[in-house]
Amino acid sequence: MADMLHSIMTKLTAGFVILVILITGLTFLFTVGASTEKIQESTQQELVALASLTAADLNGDEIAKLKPGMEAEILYLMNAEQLAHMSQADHEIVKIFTARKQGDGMEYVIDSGYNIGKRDVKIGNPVSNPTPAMLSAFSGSSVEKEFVKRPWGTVLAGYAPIKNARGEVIGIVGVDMDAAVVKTRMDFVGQTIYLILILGILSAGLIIFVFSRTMIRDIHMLIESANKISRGDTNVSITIRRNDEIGELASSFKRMITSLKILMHQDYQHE
Amino acid sequence: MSKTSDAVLEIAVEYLGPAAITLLERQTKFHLNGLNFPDIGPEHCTELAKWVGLASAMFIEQDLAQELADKIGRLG
Repeated sequence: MADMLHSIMTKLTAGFVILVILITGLTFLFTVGASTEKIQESTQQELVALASLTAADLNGDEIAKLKPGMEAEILYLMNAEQLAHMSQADHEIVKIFTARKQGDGMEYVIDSGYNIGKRDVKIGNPVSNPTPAMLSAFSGSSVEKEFVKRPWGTVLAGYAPIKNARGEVIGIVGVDMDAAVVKTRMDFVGQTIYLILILGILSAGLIIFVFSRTMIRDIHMLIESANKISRGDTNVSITIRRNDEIGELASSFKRMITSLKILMHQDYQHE
Repeated sequence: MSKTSDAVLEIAVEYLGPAAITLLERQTKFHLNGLNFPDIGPEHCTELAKWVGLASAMFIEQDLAQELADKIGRLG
């Protein structure tokens, strides 16, 4: 009898599992890549939408009046409260801030964490290395393509311009989502697909194993019967009941055994 | 070979394999008054079926032997 390594069952199971792994592996590669890209895009759109909404709610004229050292004044506190309210409405948003141009660079104005003890910047703190997306937000909504570093951590950000009563852009509002949150969102899709594929491979392997096991069991029965007959023992009984090729083989084999029995049966010969 | 013997052989081979002819010849010879199997007609089928059923039960399952006998019997 063939050992486990060389048995048809092992070959069938291994072959199908390799095939399933190949197909699912390719599916995984393409699906995960496309899905994570889409998740990032939708997150970016979400940030831009929130930035635009926040910018529309802010009073540009009031923000334009804020100067360094005015953090304790009601004008600052009211606007900071408004940003904090927007920020707290979405627990995935780590910070909402406003910034404006200052000389060749930019400076922060309002930090949404001011009233809740999470203030990281004061009015006039310079924005280190303003990104092209921040600068382009002065002419329209924009979003970071990659993660950026802030005093409060690494984030993905969306921006929108803040306008005064005359429609002039006086600054921008930035909405930051923690990089870890974005990564979790992106990883969730990959992990879910990965889990589904693993379950799919295991199920396929199990089904193939069970299927081939019943097939091999019947083949083993035929082999055992053939071995018995080849050693002169015609007292064999084939109980295989299948409608497939193995069933057909079993029927042929059974007829041959019956014929052998008829021809070899001594009592019958001397009837 | 008569038409009947051909039909009986065709049925029996499905159950007993190539040695079916040996069994049929013996049953015909011993139980149908020494008649040769190729010469049997429909009138012999009922009696032959009975003996084939008994003899084949020695080599195949009882239900299959009965099934074979019934099929041969219906040729009569």
